[in-house]
Parts: sequence; structure tokens; C-alpha cells
Amino acid sequence: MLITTNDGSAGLKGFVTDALLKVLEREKVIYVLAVGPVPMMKAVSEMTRALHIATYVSLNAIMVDGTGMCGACRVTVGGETKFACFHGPDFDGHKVDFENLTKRQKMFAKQEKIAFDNMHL
Amino acid sequence: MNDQTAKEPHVLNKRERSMIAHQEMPLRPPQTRIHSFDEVPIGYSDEQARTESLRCLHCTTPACIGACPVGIDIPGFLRLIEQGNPGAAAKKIRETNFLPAVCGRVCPQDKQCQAVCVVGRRNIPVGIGNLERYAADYERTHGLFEIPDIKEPTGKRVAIIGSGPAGLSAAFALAIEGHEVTVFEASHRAGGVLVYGIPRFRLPIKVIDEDIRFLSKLGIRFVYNMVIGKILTLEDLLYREGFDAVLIGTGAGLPRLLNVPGSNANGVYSANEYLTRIYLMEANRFPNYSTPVFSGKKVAVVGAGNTAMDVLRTAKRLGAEPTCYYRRSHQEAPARSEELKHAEQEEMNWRWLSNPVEFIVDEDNFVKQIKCERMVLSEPDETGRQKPVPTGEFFVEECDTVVMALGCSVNPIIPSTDAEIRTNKWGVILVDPTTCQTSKTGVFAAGDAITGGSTVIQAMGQAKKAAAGIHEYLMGKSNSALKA
Ligand SMILES: Cc1cc2nc3c(=O)[nH]c(=O)nc-3n(C[C@H](O)[C@H](O)[C@H](O)COP(=O)(O)OP(=O)(O)OC[C@H]3O[C@@H](n4cnc5c(N)ncnc54)[C@H](O)[C@@H]3O)c2cc1C
Ligand code: SF4
Ligand code: FES
Repeated sequence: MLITTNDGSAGLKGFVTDALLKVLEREKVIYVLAVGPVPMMKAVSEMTRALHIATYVSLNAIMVDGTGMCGACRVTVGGETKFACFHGPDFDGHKVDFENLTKRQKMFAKQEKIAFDNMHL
Repeated sequence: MNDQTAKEPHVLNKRERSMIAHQEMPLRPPQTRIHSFDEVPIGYSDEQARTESLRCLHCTTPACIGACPVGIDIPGFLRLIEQGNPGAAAKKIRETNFLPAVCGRVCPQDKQCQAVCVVGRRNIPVGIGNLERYAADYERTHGLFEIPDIKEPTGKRVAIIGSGPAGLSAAFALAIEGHEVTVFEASHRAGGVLVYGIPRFRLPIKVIDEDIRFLSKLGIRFVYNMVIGKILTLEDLLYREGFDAVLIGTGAGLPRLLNVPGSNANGVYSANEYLTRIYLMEANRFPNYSTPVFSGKKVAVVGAGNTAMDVLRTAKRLGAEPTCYYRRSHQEAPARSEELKHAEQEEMNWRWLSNPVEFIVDEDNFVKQIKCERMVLSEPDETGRQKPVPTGEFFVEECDTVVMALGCSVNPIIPSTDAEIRTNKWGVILVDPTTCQTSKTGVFAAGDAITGGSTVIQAMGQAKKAAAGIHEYLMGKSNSALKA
């Protein structure tokens, strides 16, 4: 297991892609599974696309019910609209429209801040 | 009250009865009702209810009963109201329908019992729905509901998936027979569309919650936040959890969306998402409840069915200026005339013969405009239907929220995680028409999951049939799964 942290407080200082690059240089990889924040999954998918390595990403689109009932979680995969909660959450990372997903993740940025401040943690 | 009704009721003859004026349901005025989620119809007074009940002619073969999907003894309960005993009337309705306060409010009576009522041939039909509501509300507010007798425990265990009208009705019917019933619900609250879709100003939450409390009193167990097909499969329920039979009542909650540029923009919702955020998640009270919703100023609603009317009226109550876009004309609007009328009273903008072709977005992918193509209606075809035809002429209007109310398909989670459950090409679960058993032995289905979207009362009618099917199956009389 390789650990990376942005500030180097544990494991390797850097991003997940830095660690992935190390592994890819070291051995032959045929499948990559990325689970985590959208920018990371996007960066991983971009890296492996050029190398033709099959890559799956587990999408955490904004969800309401998680049963396919509302469509809040919709993502564009291979040009088609899919519901992350029901068709996914795992999709071919090379087909995901990360740009649309990134913007949809910011849909409630303002409200998230208000809700967070309201929690009186 | 007029002279005739002051007489002993039972001596009124048909002619006297047919002279009694129809009682209009009092409504809260549009100017005030758009500022709150309080119920719009106020309900009959005792006197209005008695007067209206006297309009029933007590036909020898009552057409109304035949047109009711659960066969309520309509003249029977009307007679009890006429005799000044609304509590007994409610009890009578409960013999066949255990959600009378819900059905009195949301059933399309104008297409069912009231459509065939003989009084309606010359006059306004008897206000059956309003009277059903009256009796049920009387029972609730006077605490008259009695828990029915439950038969000896059978030792059989039934899992019900989904707590909409179908799941709840089946749970009720099976619990009465002495089976041990567990309801699995994906959301954190029971009721299905009754709580996440139908607006509070048509169906107050206290009405549903009360009925669910009674189900708990019958010993029915509710397990919330449980998505069957994802967390547990049908196989798990039958073989690991040891249920003897399963009922699928998962509804038709897969929203249809327009596939045009901007469909996935920020601020573009399905009607289900918009309504769920507000009614189930209480987004209108954000940030006291943590789920938000964009309650923009200019809300564009696509579609003109009942759900579209619910969205328009909800948006209005959130302070928006809603506009309805529909590709056909006012005349073809699929909403019930009553729903359309209530929406019109609340002053929406209407764009008939306008087909949305694009949602124009800003640099952050938030919707800012709606682009529509103007349509015209074709000459009627052989069936008399006029199709909307594009004109090549477009217009653009400002909006900051779009809600698509275009109907739903069947929720696919369960069929897609169990190969034995057969569906038709629209995803509707296939069942045996008499027992409601699916193609998988011991698994039954009812409600919108087997119709692809219908009404509360249809879902309840099927659930009753399915409950009878399950009961027979459990007691060993019949165990044939759907063949063809
Ligand atoms: C906005 C709107 C307004 C309506 N207005 C009316 C009206 O005025 N009158 C009328 O008669 N009808 C109306 N209808 C239709 C009516 O609500 C439905 O026909 C009825 O609710 C169907 O009942 P059901 O029990 O089959 O499904 P639903 O009510 O959809 O309930 C299904 C339940 O199953 C749960 N579920 C789904 N998948 C799973 C799973 N995998 N695991 C566990 N639980 C699951 C859901 O969360 C839900 O609670 C309306 C519908 C909508 C959307
Ligand atoms: S059809 Fe109308 S008049 Fe006849 S019994 Fe039914 S409600 Fe009464
Ligand atoms: S979260 Fe509602 S459909 Fe996926």
C-alpha cells in the first residue's frame, strides 16, 4: 500500500497520480480502480487513457434518494445520461464527462456553506 | 338547510332528493393560499356534508360501486352520513379502503365513481370524494378509529418492498390475516409518492402519518433506509432472511427526461427531484433542514400533466414566477380539469404549443434561458387526434430553474438485480393477473411497478389482490408462479 498526502505528513508527498506513476513505471498494470474525489478520479483517468489501461471510477455524484427515482445523480458517460446511483456507481473512467460532473458537484456550493455554518459544530 | 332536508331523511323521495342543491367544496382563495402549503380545499361542514349526502338516490344497482377500483359501498356510507353518523360511515369505507382520508383527497373521482353516478346525467354528480374525506377526517379528529381484529398468528413471514399505497395496503391486509409483516423502505419515511410527490396543499402530512401509526399498531415492522436490490437482494430476503413471500411495491419512480442540449445543466430538475427536495427533505425550510433546492425566480416547468400542475403550484408557493411550457395546446393538457383550474386560479404563465429544444447555460453550467420551438396542431388524423408539428420558429425566455414533468417509468433496481423477475420492454413487472405472482415463485408485485404509473386507488386495489394471492400461496392452496 502506498500512502500519499498533499503536505507530506505521511507517506509520499504529492498526489495519488504521483504514486500511480511510480507503480506504472515499476510493473505492468492492466486495470486501475479509482475511488475518491472527482479531481483525483479525473486525473487518474486522464493518465491511464494515454496508456490504454482499463480504468474504473466510482462516482459520488450528488444524490437524493439513491434509488433511481429523482435523477439528481445523473452523469454523462459515453455521451449518454446515466444515473450514478443505479447504473453505477462504477463507470469506465475513460468515458465519463468529468467536466459536466465537476460543474454539477458545485451546484449547491453556496448552500453547502450555509448548511455547514448552520450546524454549529 | 331547506325545508325538504329538515324532514326525517329516509322519507325523502327521489324527486325531493334530486332537487337539493349540490354543495360546493369551499376553497381557500388564491390570493392567500399561494403564500402557504396549507390545504386548499377546506372541507365540508357537518351541515354541508349531510345536505350533499341527501342527494344520493340509492340506486338499486349502484353504478358508483362498480366504478370504484376497491368497490367501496358508496350509498351505504352516504346513508350513514345522512343519518348523522360520519364515524360509522368511515368505518364502512374502511371495510374496503384503509386510506379513506387520502383517497377522498387525491382520487380522480371525476373519472371513477362520480363519472357514472346517475345524478350526474342531469345534474352535478354526488360529491362522493368530498364526503369520503369528510367521514375520514371526522373519524380522525374525533379519535374514533378502532384497530381491527387480527387473526391468530400463522407463523408465516412476509417482506414488503416499498411503503407507497401498494405496499401499505398489502401490509395491512396481510397483518389482519395473522402473518408477520416487515416493510422495507428505501427512504427514511413511509408513504411513497404520498410523502415525496403529492404536495402538502393537496394532502397534508398529518393525514398520512396517522394512517402509518395505525399500521405500526397492527404489529407491522418498518425498516427504513433499506434499498432492496442493492443492500439485500430478493434471494437474500427469501433464503437468508427467511421470508416466506415477498411483495414488490416499488412504484414507477424512474423519471423521463428531455434529451436536449443543457438537460444536465445545474438547476435542471426532474419533477421527482424538485418535489422530493421540498416535501420529503423539507428544502423550503433550508437551512434548518440541510437539503437545499434552487427556488429561482423564474421556474420553467415542462409538461402539462398533474405532476406539472403540482410543480407549478409548489414553485408559486416558494415565491417564484412559474411558467408552463407544453408542446400541445391547452385543450390537450393531460392534467385533470380540476388540477388545471386550481393552477390557473393561482396565476401561472402559460406557453402552449411550445416545445423546449435547448436549455441555455452560463459559464458555470447553470441554466439561464429556455429555447422553444413554436408548434402548430396538425389536421386531426383518423382517430381524431391532432399532432403538434414544428414550425421552424423559435423563441428564447429567461429562467433560472427548469423542472421536467414528463412522467416516469418503472423503478428498475429489483428486476435488474434478479434475472428471474420478468418485465415487458418498458420495464413493467409481469404478474399473473389473478394472484399478482411474478415469474419468480413466492415473489408478488403490485402498484405502479406492474402498471407503469397509475393512481393511488389502483395501486391499492392491486395490492389487495396481491395480498389475497400471497395469503393463498402461504396457506398452501396455490403456488404457481407466472408461466408465460
Ligand atoms: C407528483 C405526483 C402526483 C400524483 N398525484 C396523484 C393524485 O392526485 N391521485 C392519484 O390517485 N395518484 C397520484 N399520483 C400517482 C400515485 O401517487 C401513484 O400511482 C401511487 O403512489 C403508486 O403507489 P405505489 O405504492 O405503487 O408506489 P409509490 O408510491 O411510488 O411507492 C414506492 C415506494 O417504494 C420505495 N422503493 C422504491 N424502490 C425501492 C427499493 N429498491 N427498495 C426499497 N424501497 C423502494 C420508494 O421509496 C417508495 O416509497 C401522483 C404521482 C406523482 C408523482
Ligand atoms: S350512482 Fe350516485 S345516486 Fe346512485 S347510489 Fe351511487 S352515489 Fe348514489
Ligand atoms: S440519487 Fe436520485 S436517482 Fe440517483
